Amino acid sequence: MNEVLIAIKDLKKQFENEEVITKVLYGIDLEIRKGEFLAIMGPSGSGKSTLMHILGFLDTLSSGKYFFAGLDVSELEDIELAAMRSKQIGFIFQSFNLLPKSTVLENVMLPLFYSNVSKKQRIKKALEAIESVGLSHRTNNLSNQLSGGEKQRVAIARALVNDPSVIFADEPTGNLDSKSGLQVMKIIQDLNLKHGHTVILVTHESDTANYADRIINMKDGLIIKDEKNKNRVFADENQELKK
Amino acid sequence: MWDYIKNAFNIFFQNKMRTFLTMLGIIIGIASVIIIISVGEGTQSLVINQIQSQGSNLIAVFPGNSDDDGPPVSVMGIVITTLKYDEIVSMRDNDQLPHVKETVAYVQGTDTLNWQGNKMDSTFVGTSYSMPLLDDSKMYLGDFFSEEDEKTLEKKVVIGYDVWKELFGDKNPIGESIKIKKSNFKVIGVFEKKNAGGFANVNKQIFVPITTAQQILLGINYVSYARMKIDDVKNIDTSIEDIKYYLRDKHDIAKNEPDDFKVNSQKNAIETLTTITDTITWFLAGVGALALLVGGIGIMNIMLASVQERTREIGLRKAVGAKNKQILLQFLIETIILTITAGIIGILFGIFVSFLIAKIASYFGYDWDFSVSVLAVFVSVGISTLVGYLSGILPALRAGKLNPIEALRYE
Repeated sequence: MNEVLIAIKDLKKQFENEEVITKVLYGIDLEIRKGEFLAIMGPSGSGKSTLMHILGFLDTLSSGKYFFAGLDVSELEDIELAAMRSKQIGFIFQSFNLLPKSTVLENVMLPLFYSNVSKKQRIKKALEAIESVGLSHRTNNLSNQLSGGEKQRVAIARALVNDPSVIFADEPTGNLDSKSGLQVMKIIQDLNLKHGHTVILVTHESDTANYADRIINMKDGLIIKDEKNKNRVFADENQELKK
Repeated sequence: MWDYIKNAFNIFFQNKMRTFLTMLGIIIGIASVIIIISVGEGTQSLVINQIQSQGSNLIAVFPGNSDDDGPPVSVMGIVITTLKYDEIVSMRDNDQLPHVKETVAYVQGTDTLNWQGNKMDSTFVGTSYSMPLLDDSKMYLGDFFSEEDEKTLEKKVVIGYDVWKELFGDKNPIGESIKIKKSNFKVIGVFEKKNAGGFANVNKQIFVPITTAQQILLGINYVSYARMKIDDVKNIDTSIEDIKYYLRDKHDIAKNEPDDFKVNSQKNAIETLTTITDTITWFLAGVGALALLVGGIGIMNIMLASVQERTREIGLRKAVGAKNKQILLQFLIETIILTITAGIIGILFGIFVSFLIAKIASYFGYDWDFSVSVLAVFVSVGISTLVGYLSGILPALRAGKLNPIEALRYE
């Protein structure tokens, strides 16, 4: 068994908005090992996205402990969190979040702009990442000229470009038709199977979750089921993604 | 750093409209203040130049005294006879008055002129032969009368341009006789048409030797007032004192008695008018400040309108690992480049338009000085830059406090 990469203990999260307190996570315990492909499932409002944002350093926890590779994340300062986002993780969003008026290359290079990488290296790494998602022919297109599936592949390239430990995907197929959704899921599964990336996927579709090797079910801010995926599906470009 | 600058230009290029509108706000703010102040100063120069063209080195002596601030009583139509022709003449080439170059005495009256039945009401001015030297009047036809004419009470007359046109039409008036107060005067000259400044239209006046006017037309021996030309503007104050001393002596005025005359220079008039034009300039500066405010609001509007877009952009940049410091630096460089570029364009544009206005004014014959107020440049650039800077980095400062996910979802 691989080493533990992520460990959370009794993690709680609540949002406070003008004295209205909304509890979202009620105490989560979870361990994720290196090289796992984990799917977090649950209906909307179950807290699955919030959990992923906390795991991906995009949001802070209210109480509990979060260790990333042995490091106590709850103790980190803003600037250290930024460094973690820069070096350790790549994020894929449901709504892509590309800079619309920038080219594919510029979008993919964006994370490298904030790490100490020479311009030459940046371009080289970005081109490699773009190639790995099969978009070399789109390198100099503006991102708002692309189809949804292509946009999400650009987002994947951007998530890869820093060579992160963990790739987070938040409903990556949610805004895509089934054909491009399948393409995207194949790339994500390949990242795990062929390149050994740890992948954490959030989805409410069981078909999408079935590409993972472990599935967690959440409801009302708690994990209700956590088990190996016995019906794991291996993506094949020729087959349609069932919705 | 170079990366940040290139990135900033990239962002400007990608957001042409936003960049253009922001810069427009700054450019309009700066240019309008520069133009308004320049026009204000141009107007001031116009007024002052006009007074000075009438002779800033002139001193006027009026009979009778009045309060220091008020006009001489002779202006009110009260006849005071304390100023005599002989004493004015004695001030010419006088060792006691070393700076006085020309001395001209005046009397005035009105009558109906008559040339072969053509009639016209006019003011006749009795004056000294040296009047053209004093006020730079130019002859259009013929000559002005001479010192000799003045001494021998010649009945000669020099007429204003409008008088010529009204009485004679296009006929050459030289040598013709016009009747004034039952005496025939021979026309010997016509003045060039002058800009009608001051209180009287000199184009509608006629000029006769002062002695002739006093003795033949009016039957008086005093003068209404006198004017003197001083060799240099800086000697005006000394000369006023010299003239006062000289006239007090002539009039035998005891030490504790007040003057029975008044000596004025145009210095006072210029000071008064400068105060007025200064007020106008400050008023215009207020208008300029308003323009600056409008420009500033324009900038803020554009910036605020793009806050949502930019906050999301900041969220994304943070999500991919940007530190707050790096985002602030990026926005800082962006706004600095933007405001400096717009500032330079604004200054150049403002100066260009001010220059154009000055050129056009000069073209139409106005004595308009082109000037650009350094203060206006600094203040307008300072304020627009500050507004541009604040509205540029405020979103960055605010978004910096949000979690990346909050910024990404910002609405």
